[in-house]
Amino acid sequence: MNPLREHVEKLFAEYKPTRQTRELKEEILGNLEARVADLTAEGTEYAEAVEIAKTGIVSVDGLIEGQLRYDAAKYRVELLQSALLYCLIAWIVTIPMRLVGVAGQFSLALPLISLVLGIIYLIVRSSVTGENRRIETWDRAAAERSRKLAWIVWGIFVLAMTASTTALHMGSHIWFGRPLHISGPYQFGVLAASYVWPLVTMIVPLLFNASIRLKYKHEAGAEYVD
Amino acid sequence: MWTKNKTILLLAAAGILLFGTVQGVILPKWERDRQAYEAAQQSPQTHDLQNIVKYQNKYMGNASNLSNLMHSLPLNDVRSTLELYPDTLAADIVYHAQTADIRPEKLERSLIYNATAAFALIGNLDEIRFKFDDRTYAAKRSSLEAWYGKKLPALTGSPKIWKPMVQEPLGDPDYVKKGIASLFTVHRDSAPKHGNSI
Amino acid sequence: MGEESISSDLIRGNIDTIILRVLSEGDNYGYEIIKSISKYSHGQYELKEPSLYTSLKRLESQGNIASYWGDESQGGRRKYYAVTPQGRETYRRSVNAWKRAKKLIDQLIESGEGDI
Repeated sequence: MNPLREHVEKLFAEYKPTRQTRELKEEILGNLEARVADLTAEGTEYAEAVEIAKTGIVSVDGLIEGQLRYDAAKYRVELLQSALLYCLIAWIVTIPMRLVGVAGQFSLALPLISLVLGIIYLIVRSSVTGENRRIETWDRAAAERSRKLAWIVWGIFVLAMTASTTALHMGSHIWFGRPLHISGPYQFGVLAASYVWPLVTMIVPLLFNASIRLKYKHEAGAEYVD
Repeated sequence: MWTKNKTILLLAAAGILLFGTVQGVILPKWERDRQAYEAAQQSPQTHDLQNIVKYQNKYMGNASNLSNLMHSLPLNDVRSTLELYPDTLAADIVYHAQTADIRPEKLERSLIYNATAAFALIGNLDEIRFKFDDRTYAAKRSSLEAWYGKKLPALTGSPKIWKPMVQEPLGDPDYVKKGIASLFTVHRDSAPKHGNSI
Repeated sequence: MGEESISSDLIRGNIDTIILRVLSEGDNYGYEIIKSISKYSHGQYELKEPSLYTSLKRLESQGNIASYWGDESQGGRRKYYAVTPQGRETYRRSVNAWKRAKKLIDQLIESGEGDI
């Protein structure tokens, strides 16, 4: 491959190919070749001219809209940490529910998930050293859309669960116009737990939030200075 | 980063502790309490009135209700069938067992207790017969009303009435003996008659 | 040096206007725009390629310039830029704004007549 084209391909290596990136690639390549043509016309050796042209542009950070760069390794470690934290908190909330026989699978699944996350976290943490800087790009707009979608889906889920719990426990009372009667602390506990457990799933959209926040936090800076 | 890790460890420890307490201490205790309670329901003196007031009904013809009532009273661990005679407002509880299979104190106390409960809660029941393989105990409402000195539904108003008037006296063997003699007519033979069986 | 960094800051603040000037004199493409600027500055200012692309993208999104692809006999296609009528107007206003600013700063920065 022509060395200039190779150079340009490398510049765009970590970016998602879009029409914008393709056009910019061509433009940059065209200008580099014009520079090399100029230099060789003035007498510079082709190889040297290529090197000079290459130093003219060494990064396309900031030229590509919507794609930001972040330190993937650090991001992953912190995201795992947050996920672990959220899962543990969720687990602790579901343990008392075992007393009233609600959400039993959650209080068993969550510690297992936490354990797996913990092991992955330890592995990933120990393999991240200074040299392993893996830079990746993310599309901020797309990430925001995913985040909003996650919250909407969660909201619908909670609404559906709340409606079904209400129908289950109070349906006949509402239908027949009877006043609601709670027969004791145990039944109160069952009711309360039934309404609370869907809220525990909030950790999922919260992790979407954390993901975006952490990508900003570990933003990789541009390598060129104006 | 460090404090976050500390929090994680703390939470993990708290979770394990909490889980262990719930599973190993609280739930087993609740189970033991529940079993003790269930056992108590077998004895007329410790039976919980609240478990049966919901079966209060005007009509003995409501077979499922009467059946549920009998299955919530002492001696429910003995297999039984229900036979109804709406014409005479009588009900037969047929226990498929010999009276010898049951401890005499428990048997006699339960008979008095169950008859009281049945008449007190089922409005128009007039006669009840407890039939065992070898013997039948028959009681009429009027006998029990005379025994307790009042209309029987009045007894179930509150445990504060039920306990002292119906349950506690059963602790006295003389009271039980006199009760069996006054309230029940005992037949030695028990040919099953036809009626509404559940 | 201190003097040089100050002047390149000033130039950078006006780079869009400078590019509009270059394009007003004729449609052109990236490398040649840099060459023209270098020529006008008598070699004292070399616009960096990344800054060029940033400015071009900005000017195009503002509607001050428009782009089209040229056909070249060999090598990559070249992206040419042309000033739009709006761009000419923007250029004119920017030049006037600079002149006014220059006059004001001259008055403030030095007592008596100052010649830059």
